[in-house]
Amino acid sequence: MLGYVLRRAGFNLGVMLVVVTLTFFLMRLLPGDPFMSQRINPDIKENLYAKYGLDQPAARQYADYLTALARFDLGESLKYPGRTVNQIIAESFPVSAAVGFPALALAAFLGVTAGVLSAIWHNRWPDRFILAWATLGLSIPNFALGAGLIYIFALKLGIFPVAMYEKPLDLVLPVLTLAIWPAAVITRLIRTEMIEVLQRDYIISARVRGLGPAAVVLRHALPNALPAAIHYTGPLAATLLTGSFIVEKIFALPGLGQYYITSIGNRDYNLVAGITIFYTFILLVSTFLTDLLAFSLNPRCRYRNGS
Amino acid sequence: MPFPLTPGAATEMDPDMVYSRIVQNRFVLACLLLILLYVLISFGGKFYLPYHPNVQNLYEANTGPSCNHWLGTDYLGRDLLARILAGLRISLVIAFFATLINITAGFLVGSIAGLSGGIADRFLTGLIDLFWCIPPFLVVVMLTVVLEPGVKNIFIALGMVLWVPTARIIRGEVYQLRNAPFIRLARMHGAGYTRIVFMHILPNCFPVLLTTAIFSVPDAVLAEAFLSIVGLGVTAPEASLGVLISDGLQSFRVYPWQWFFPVLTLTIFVLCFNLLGDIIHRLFRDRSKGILEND
Repeated sequence: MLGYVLRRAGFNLGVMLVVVTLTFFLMRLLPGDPFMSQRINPDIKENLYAKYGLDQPAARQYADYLTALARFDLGESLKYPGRTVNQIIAESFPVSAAVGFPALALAAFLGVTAGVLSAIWHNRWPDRFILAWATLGLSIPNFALGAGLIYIFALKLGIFPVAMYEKPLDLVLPVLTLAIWPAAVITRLIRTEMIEVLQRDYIISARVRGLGPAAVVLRHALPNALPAAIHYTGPLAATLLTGSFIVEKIFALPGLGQYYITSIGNRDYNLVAGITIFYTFILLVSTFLTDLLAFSLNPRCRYRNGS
Repeated sequence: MPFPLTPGAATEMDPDMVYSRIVQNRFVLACLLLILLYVLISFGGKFYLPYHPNVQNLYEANTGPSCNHWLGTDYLGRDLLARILAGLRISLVIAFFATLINITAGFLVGSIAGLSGGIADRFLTGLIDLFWCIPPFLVVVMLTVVLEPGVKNIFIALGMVLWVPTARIIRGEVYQLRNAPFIRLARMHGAGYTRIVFMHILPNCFPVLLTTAIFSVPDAVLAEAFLSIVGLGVTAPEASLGVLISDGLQSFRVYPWQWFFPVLTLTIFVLCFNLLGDIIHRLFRDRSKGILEND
């Protein structure tokens, strides 16, 4: 077990290094520079270049970046002078996570419940009903859902605020917007697996032994139907926690997703690289955690991971 | 629907059976007809609509749906219906070519990796894994910035990202087939690499490729909309569905129809493809299950 964790950690470090290298050089290959939008005089630009170390050769910049990274220092933003990338992430990540985490929990809860219910009633009307909603949820893009929810519940009915989120309950609309799509995916994953699992012999034998339907479904069938959904949750958690550009834009949330996309347009080298590293880190950690979860639920995963 | 299956392929799929099952299923038929309708009205829109999608009429800016403008007008007084049809056309072109790049690149990389094994396989799998770790929208956004937004560059950028999962699936499929009797036999008969890939591997990957292609269309349309909202959409007077949605998002609080109609068009389109993909997927899964039970 410890060996597995260590091997995994080593591999993940390698992945991080590759991602860092790629974003570092790709960003510098993009046409334009961080100061092009300010129309400043070349002398000042030269000074700015010297200040941020951009006048150095690329290899030197890369080495400096890596040494700073080893101390968890992601450098200074080029677009927002005086603010470090660490500060920006520390400010905006909680905003994104405050929406993303409830959305993740809601998606998991809705998805598992709906998936199990629809598998139990396979091919009968509750199943068709749930499946229809899941397919609809899969097809409605978040910019449609988000703006629609704002229009109905915030502008027409006035139940939720349009912006300015103060109480936790104010975040219901963005959380719903983020949660519906993954909930639909999880519903479908659980449903497919569950239908298959419920037909296996050990379920029949559990029923024959006189076990109640709840125990059969929850204790015997569900753990075997979960792995596909759990493996999907890993990357999903990273996407939801680091924020979605569109949802943050529609709901005017100052989250990480907004910074990420605008910083590419701004050629804010350090901010792009910093957020990418942060995202990859969250991605690798959440994939690792979900793997551990699948591992503890299902001993067969041990062999799958080992190979 | 033509299915390019060679007689010797392991897929025991009767084209007539597929055809009848598709037509019998009303859902599929409705989806197919709706998609056909989308293609027809969007490409035919040029000929029968009284308004040009890019002609401005500021006297009629931001008017709601009426007899003259069925779906209303936008902030420059352009007819929304004409713009939606023109936008749909651009979105369809982008989705079509992105999907084409997706399955071509995905199939080539996946089958070469799966069939060759050894160093080539390791290298290509490594490449796939590498792409897997970088957030896809970062790659798309960067590529679009480098190539400059435009119809061609958008579908190239999208294709460059979409092929990664396809290649992974195809590689898995081909890897299992690599030493199948009919492949070995073909090799013994002196069939070249290209012949094996296109005459023997391709028909066997066909179900997977078809499902992937169907699911890739809504992905590409949605990704294009995402790019437009980010501000990297098709350039100004022309508009894709995504650009219309992005414009609509600016004003949906005041002029909801400018947001509602493009979004509705897109959602129905995506829904059709998702339903179609589901059913095709189930069709092929049933088929493979049947084969297993006969064994």
